[in-house]
Amino acid sequence: MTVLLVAILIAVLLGWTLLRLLRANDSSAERASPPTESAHPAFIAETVFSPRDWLFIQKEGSASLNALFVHERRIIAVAWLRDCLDAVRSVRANHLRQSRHSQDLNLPAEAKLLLRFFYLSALCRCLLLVVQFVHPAAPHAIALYIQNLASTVLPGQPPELVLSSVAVHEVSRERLR
Amino acid sequence: MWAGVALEVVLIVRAFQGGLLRRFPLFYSYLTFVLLESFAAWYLYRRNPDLYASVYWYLQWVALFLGSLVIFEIYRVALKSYPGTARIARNLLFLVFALTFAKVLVNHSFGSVYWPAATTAELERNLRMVQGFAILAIAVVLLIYAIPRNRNLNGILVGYGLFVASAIVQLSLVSHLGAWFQKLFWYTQPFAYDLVLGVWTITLWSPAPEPVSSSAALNQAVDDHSSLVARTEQDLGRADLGFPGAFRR
Repeated sequence: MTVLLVAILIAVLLGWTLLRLLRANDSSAERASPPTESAHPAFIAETVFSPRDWLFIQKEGSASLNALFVHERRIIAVAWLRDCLDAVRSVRANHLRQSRHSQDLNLPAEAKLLLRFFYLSALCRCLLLVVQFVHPAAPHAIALYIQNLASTVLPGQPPELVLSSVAVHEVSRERLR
Repeated sequence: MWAGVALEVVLIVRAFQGGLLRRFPLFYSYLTFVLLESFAAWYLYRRNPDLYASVYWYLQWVALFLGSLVIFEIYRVALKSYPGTARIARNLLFLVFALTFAKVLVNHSFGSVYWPAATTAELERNLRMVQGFAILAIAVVLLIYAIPRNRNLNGILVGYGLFVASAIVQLSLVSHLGAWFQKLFWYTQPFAYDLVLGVWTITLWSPAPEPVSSSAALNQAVDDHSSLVARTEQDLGRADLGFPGAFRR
């Protein structure tokens, strides 16, 4: 019975991969462009996920104000995370587009990068779920963990943020407060 | 059976006319073998049914071997312009065959036969599984690296992949369910193969132009891989560390 299940699993996996291959096209990789940086990334990112504003709003004691705040903050957080996801995708597409022509491809380095791409994409998707279904400020604790993790993995890297969304540019600090 | 034979003849004639024979020699060798095998099996079945049963499996092994060469041809044609990706695919294929070899070796060390299989159907299923993993490895690499493929190559890959997937399921059911599915198998197997032949007839009807990678990618001098990785890590570092940067207090 186990062999039968394994066989069916392999067949399904193979069929699914081949169908994905049929639907995939090369355009996404060819269109990839380098990520752009926002004018005030640190401010936007800090504001979006900070629990400080949320605590301030809660003190006002207005249910409608709370709801409005959560609604607006959620939209901004989702836009910010989607931008991060796009940035990771863009870097990945650019890398793969070039590395496929590489004559001296280093397998461990390539595998490590692919894992990191996968990790970051998965992280963005998880945070998107948390923001959409829990609370916009909920990822803060997760982020602190990531911060520690990232500083161990890549010490000395500048904590810059890649952002390109027009929506994020339109948000002012006054509106958030 | 005759529908399949007709489709095989059409495929080979079209390949002659369109010059696809030169582009995919191993695939058309496989197809020609299957065509000749069908005639030989039919002749034997009518003349000597007892002999047919044993010869059938020998012919299947040869078809399986030629099928493996088709997988090699897919790898060769798809990745000939992409040495970096070809290297990844080679290593993945090596991993698949190394794991298979390790399994055979472990079985032998424990006093068992090289590949435990009670019936020839089980043995074929096991070998089809190895083929399945090899196709999966190539397909994943093509997908991740977005390697451009034309209609002809896509057709061969998807058609043969689906054929292997259906063979794995059917042979597993033959082993698991026994005699009653065995009877059904004589109908389902040719039906699945005819469907695959249909896919091949559509996708290999005429030669598709060779895929051209973006001129930018081809003209761009590809640096050594280590500097490319360093550059990507730098780009990724900016995107990556946006997270902790965002949550700094």
